[in-house]
This record gives sequence, C-alpha cells and structure tokens, in this order.
Amino acid sequence: MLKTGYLGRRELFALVFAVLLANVFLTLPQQMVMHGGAAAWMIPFVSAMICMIVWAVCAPALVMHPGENMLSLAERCLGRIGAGIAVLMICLFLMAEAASTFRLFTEMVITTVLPRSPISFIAIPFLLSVLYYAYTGIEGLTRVSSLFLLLFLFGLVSLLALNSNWMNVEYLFPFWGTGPLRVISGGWQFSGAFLNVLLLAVFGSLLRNPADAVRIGYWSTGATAVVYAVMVLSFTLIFPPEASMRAPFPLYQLGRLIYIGQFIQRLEAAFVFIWVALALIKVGTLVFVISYLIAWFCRMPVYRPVVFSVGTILYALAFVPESWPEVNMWNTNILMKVGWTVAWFIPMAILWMARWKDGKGEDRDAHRNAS
Amino acid sequence: MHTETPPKRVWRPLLSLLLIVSLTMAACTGCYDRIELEGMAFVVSLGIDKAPENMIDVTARIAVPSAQEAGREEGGESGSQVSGAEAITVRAHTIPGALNFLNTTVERRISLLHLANLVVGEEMAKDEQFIEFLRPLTRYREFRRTVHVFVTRGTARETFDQNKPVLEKSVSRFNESVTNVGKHTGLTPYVIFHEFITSMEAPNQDAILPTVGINDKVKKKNNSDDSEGESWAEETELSSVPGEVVRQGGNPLEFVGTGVFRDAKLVTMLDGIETRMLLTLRGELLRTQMDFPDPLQKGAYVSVELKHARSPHIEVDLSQKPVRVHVNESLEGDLIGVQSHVNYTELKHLHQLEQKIGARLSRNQKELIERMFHEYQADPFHIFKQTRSQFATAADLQRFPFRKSLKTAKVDVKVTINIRRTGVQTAPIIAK
Repeated sequence: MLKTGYLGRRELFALVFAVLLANVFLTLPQQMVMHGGAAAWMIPFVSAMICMIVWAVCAPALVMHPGENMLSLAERCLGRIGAGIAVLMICLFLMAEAASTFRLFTEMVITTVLPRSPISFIAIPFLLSVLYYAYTGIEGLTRVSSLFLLLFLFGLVSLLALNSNWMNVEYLFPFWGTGPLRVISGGWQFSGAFLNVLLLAVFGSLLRNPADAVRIGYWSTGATAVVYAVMVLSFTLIFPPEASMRAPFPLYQLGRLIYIGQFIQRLEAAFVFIWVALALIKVGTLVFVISYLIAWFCRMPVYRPVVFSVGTILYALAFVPESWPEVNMWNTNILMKVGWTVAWFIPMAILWMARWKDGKGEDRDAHRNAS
Repeated sequence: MHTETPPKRVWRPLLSLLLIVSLTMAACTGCYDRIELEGMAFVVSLGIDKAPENMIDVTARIAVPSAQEAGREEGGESGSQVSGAEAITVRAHTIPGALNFLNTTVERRISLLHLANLVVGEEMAKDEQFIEFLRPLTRYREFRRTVHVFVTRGTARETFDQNKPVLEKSVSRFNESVTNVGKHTGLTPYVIFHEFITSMEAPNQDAILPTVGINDKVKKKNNSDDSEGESWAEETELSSVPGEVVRQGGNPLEFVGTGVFRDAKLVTMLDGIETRMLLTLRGELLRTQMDFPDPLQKGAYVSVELKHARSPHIEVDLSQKPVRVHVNESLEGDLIGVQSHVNYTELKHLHQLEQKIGARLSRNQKELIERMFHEYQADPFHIFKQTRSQFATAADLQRFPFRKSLKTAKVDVKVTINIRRTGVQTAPIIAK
C-alpha cells in the first residue's frame, strides 16, 4: 500500500459526502427531472437503495481484512493482470468523469458569472488549485471537506428556504412522473453518481477502525440520497417539470430567483463560493484517486509525481469536446449511463470475490482441521 | 561566538505565504470581466411593441445617476416623469439585437442587470409570435426572472411617455410601490417573469399579467390648460377598466386589471373588480377593501375589508362529462363603513349582510369562471392546475383534453363570509 496517513471517520465521511454533493451544482438535477419528471425526487432513493445493498454485500470484506483495501484484495483474487485491468477501467472512467466535471464547471462559470473571460482564464487557475489539493493528498482533501461541509449544507438549505415563496405543491404531480419503470431505471442509471462505494473501498482501510468504513458507507449513501432528493424536489416545486428539463444550471437559477422584497434579492454571488469549493473538492479528489491508482499499479511508493501528469491529461481531455452541449451530451448519454459499472459494480465484484474466496479458504481450512 | 540561523522550515511557510499573497493580489486587481460602473448604462424599464415585418420596437428607460439627474433638473430638462433618461425606442428583430442598436445612440454599454420591469404592448401580447420574442430573454444572462411584467393597453412606448408618478422618482422604487399597493387593493395582480413563463410552460394552466392603462381624460387634461378634461364630472358609471377609472388628476397611467393569456397569447383583459374575483379564486387575496350595496337600505353602500379565512377549497371531478368544478371559499373580515342607519352589530342584520355579500361574490365569481372557461377556454384561476394530482403519469396528463373540458365545464361556487368585527363604533350616527 502507498504511503499515506490515517484518516478520521468524520473527515472521510465529509470527503465522500462533499464529492457527491458537488453533483447537485452541476447538471444532475436537470438530468434526473428529464428522466423521472415530477417523480425525479424518488430517483435518488432508488439509487441509494441499490448502493446500500451493494455496500451490504461488499463492506464485510473490508472488515474481514483490516488494513487491506480493494486494490490489494483485487490483486489477491484476480492476480496482477486482472487487478491491473480493473484499475485501468476505473482510472479511465474517473479521468473521463473528472474531465467532464472540469469542463462543465468552467463552461458554467463562463455562461453564468464571467461571460467575457477566455476559458483558459478560468480553467488554468482552477486546474492549479485542483493540482494543489490533489498533491496534498487524502488528508488535505478530507480536512478541507470536513471544515466546509457544514457551510455547504447551510448554503444549500438557505438557498431553498429563500426560494420558498415560489414553491407550488401541484408541480410535484403527476405522482409517478414519467412512470414507475422510468423511476426505477433512473435509480439504476443515476446510482453511478454515488462514487462513495468506490472511494470507501479504496480508502476505507486508512481508517483506524475498518468497521467505521461500513458505517460511513451507509451514512454517506443515505445523506446523499436525502440531499439529492430535497434539491430535486425543491427544484421541481419552483420550476415545474416541464420547465426544469430546460434549466441546466438549477441551483444558479434558484440563486437568481431569490426575491424576498426589496432588500433580500440578488444573492446568487453568495452561493458561487460554495459551488466553486465543491467543484474543486470533487475534481481534486478524482485527480488524487487516479494518481493513487496509477501509482499503485506501477508499484510506486508515492503518488505525488503522478499528479501533474494526470493534471495535464485532464486538461487536454477536458477540451476535446468542442462545446458545452457536446460535453453535456457526453456526460448525460455516456458517463451517467455507464457510471454505475465503475461506481459500484467493479468494487462489489472484487470485494464479493474476496469474501467468496475467503469463505472457500475457511471451509477448506475447517475441513482440513476436522480431518 | 556561534549564532544560530533560523531553520529552513521557518522560511518555507513564509515564502509560501508571500507567494499566495502576491498571486491573490495579482488575481484580484482585475479580470477580463471587469466593467467600470461609469461605463455602463443600466436599463431599468424595458418595453416591447409589435412592429411591421416581424420586427419589434424595444423601448428602454435608462437609469441616470443622481448627480447627473440633479444637473438635468437644474437645466430644466426633467419634468415630473420618473428619474432616468428619456425613453429610447429602437426597431430590431430580437431584444438582444435591439439592445445592441441602443448602443448606437447611448454612449455607455447597455446592461439589463438592474432591469425592474418589462412592459408589453397590447398588440404584441396578442400576437402569435409573442413567445418567440420572449424566448431570448430566458436565455439572456443579464435578465432576471424576478423582473415584474406588465401588459399595457396601447403601446409600451406611450406608457413610458405618459408615466408621471405622483410620488416616486426612481423607477425601481416606483415598481416596488406599484406592486405593493396592488397587493393591498386587489385591483391588479402581482406577477414576475418566472411565474408568467412557468404558467405558460406547465400544462392545464394559463398565465396572467397585470395591466396598465392610459387614462385619456387625465392625459388630455395634463397636456392642455383648457377644460377639455373636465368631462369626467359628468360620468355616471363607475369603472375599473384599465384606462377608464373615473378620476381627475394624478398619473395618466392606471395600474388596474389583468391580462389573461391562452397558449402564450393575450385573449382578454379583466377590470379591477374582476381581478379581485380572480385573485380570490387563486387564493391570493390579501386584506382588501370592497364596497357592496346595503341589503337593508336601497341606494346605500357598506364597506368591508375581506381576506381569506382559509385557502379556497377546489374540487374538480374529471370523471364527469362535462367536467364539474366546485369552489368553496371562506372569507372573513371587518365592517369598516356603513352609510345607512342600519345597526349591523345586531346579529340578525349582520348575518343578512354576510349572506348577501356571499351570494353576490358567489354569483360574480361563477360568472367570471364561466366566461373564461366557456368563451376563451382559458384557466387563469389555476383551478385545473390542481388536477395534476389526479393523473398518475405525465403521459396521462398530456392526454387530458384540457381546452375541450373548459368549454363545457359546469361550475359551482359557494362563498361563505364571516364578518368578525364592526369597527370602532357600534350603532350608526343618527342625526337629530
């Protein structure tokens, strides 16, 4: 295992929660409404249920092997080549996800806040900050997340509370939105947004007590589902589903809608800080995870030399799509649809295999001892 | 003698701090998006009128900083109009295009960041292409969905020219005041762009806008010194139609009435009294004063202040053919003025008054709903919006023949009135 420090359970919870929280500031609420209509708020709960079942299957493997993570277990179960292929798949997806988030974020900043700035003026400082955070490693990322998590939540709650005057309960109907089957298929598809299973499978071993990782898994999944559901619910209460489908920057739109009389209005700038900070944490964490996985695969003792190369590839990849609609199309039609395979299917398969092999081994040992 | 040099570790954070401070200072001193306040012309009111050949006339009133405004007044340029430069109208194919053309005559960069209201001319609002001209606004970064929108009888340009507020000087302040007053009189609705657009986008509901009318008699009187405007004195019928309120003096503009839209097109205008009925049905009536004929003395009137005791209870039975609508309202209020000698602190009289007012409001509301439903197939009351919960899926909702159902819907309205207080006097004054 690579040299890293130990993590506190609160810090690790804050990190995985913040990484997942960043999605609500991007296009995720719009995508959910496009999929589920008025019932879009149910989708996160379906996704969370899937993730919790997955976690129930794979988390015990981490407890059974204290000090080991998904990578070492993959090597033991699949061999060096099999583990390498799994890591490569994860890295490719995370790189695409990081590049897409990076580009979406910079395009959103240009569209909404700084329309006349060249994209490099936003992208380069953002990349430098991302690299700095990724370089500081998991400890730095978890500490920043735990420091700001309450502020992020307070910001989200106040954003919704200040828009309560525009809410219409009728817009939550028809109850089943685009239909129950679409809600269930949406739950499956958007479970790819729950990267906490992957993150905990890799970094849960850094906790002093591995059992804490199991609790963090359930709590972060549940808390994220509640936040996603509340955000989508509030969004559809204010913008009817027919209009929500056309609003790609939902939380920015909500920020601009704040109008509580003459003196409480035009507050969106206050929320831009939260938006930037969350995007920074998400992309920084993804860059760190990719660097960590590459370093592990190459048997390097430290991940830091890889960070800058990953940053360069990220920057180049982020500018492959020619426009915002193109990057949004890639994100919606490809990344979001295949995300679940990397977010929870690969970790589940590896950890379940580790459990199964152990079970077989234990049975064999027990049989041997008995004879 | 050996002197200890500080360890290298002390210098590292100091250098890092220095680097961070220098970078922050460099980054914060300016950026590509900087715009000096002195370089911007803030449009505070925007008007849209229909023009020939699928074009629009866009009228803008630009805010004038107070120091410049003082200079203009000294020079005798400003009259009693709201503060701001004289309205400028340009013709273009789109609103962004018009804003660009405005800069051919305005020496600073035009900005909509401080736009307070949008006024739509009647002809424009009635046009099939109205929504096409609004679409760019929803995409335009500087435009806020919290902008107040009005539809005017006549043209937006004339509305701008004739706006001579009684008190307010600032357009933003004027806008706030007009909408606040409207909330309390109930004679005009309060609508922001977001509500207007979402009402057009969502199925089974129609949009409304507050109307502005130009009172020709007041306008003529203001523009001439002769007694041409005195004809108001011979009026025998009261009116709350926008532009026809019987009065003398004040702003030629009247903020009264409601424009009703169907399929993103203005189909009719309601007067002030009908607007009150509309707001009552939508559950948006604040404490509002209303006059009713005294049921116990012919020719006399009673004034009451009414508000919702609870939100209107609306039932729509979609299973029936035709669709049946039942509205149950409960209003409560105070008796604030009685012209007659009737003592309304006697319960018998008070109940009679409550029943008469309730019956009158029920009848008026029923007539209004039927007129909107049957004649225009429009639902500005948001009655059918509440039927969304009766559909299981969006596909079911889309399949529902909304307009067809409106045409034949059977309506039943019941208004219950509870007068809680009778003012600071019990029996009326009786002369010797």
